[in-house]
Amino acid sequence: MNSLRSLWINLATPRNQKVLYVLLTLAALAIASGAPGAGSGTGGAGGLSLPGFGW
Amino acid sequence: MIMGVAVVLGLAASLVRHRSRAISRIGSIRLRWAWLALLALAFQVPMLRAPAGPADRFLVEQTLLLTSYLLLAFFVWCNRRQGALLIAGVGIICNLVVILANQEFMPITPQTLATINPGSSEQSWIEGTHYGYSKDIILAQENTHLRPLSDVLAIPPPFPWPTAFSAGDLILAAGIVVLLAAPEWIVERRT
Repeated sequence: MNSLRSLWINLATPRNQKVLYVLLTLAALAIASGAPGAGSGTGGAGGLSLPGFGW
Repeated sequence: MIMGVAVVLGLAASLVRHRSRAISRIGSIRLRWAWLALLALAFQVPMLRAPAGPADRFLVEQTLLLTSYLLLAFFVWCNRRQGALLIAGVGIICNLVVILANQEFMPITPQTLATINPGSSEQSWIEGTHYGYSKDIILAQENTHLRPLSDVLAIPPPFPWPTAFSAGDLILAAGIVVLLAAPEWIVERRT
């Protein structure tokens, strides 16, 4: 527990938190404005016409 | 996938270019209304979790998707002092325009889908349906408006994560790489 606390004190500096904030924002911007789904694995079978796949 | 690569590439380029100052350099980037980007991503979750189906069944998801693009455009406008974000903004506008021109979805052709989905053929993909778990709609080339701006670019196998993306995605990715890696005098415009 103490080592975790010291790790937090050492790493979670205001500067590092700001860096993380910027990177998170840019990652959100990238994912939200791009097209991550097509063929990326998450939608691999999306739209595929499988037998018995009727709407 | 390509967008995640852009962030990692920008980070790596920043580390190479600025070395020990890279972290300080990224920390010095001033982003206003940053929560808008996170909110925009949250608005897209319903569409990104929607399985395949006829395109007219996704009215709520499409409305949220369009709203999210407006939030992103507003975020870029609020941060227009960052020149690199203006590049990203051009990419966002490119994607938004082609989505507006194609039933509020990003169009993708059966040919592209067959390219990135090994084992499937062009005939496997039903035109006019939403491509599950994405923002895309399957449209034939001749039925796609502004086709050069749609998801026509593809990285096929043997790339481990075959993917399709648009010119707007590329411009956006370039903007993020520039923002992270370029000298400050390029990134931040004088006002």
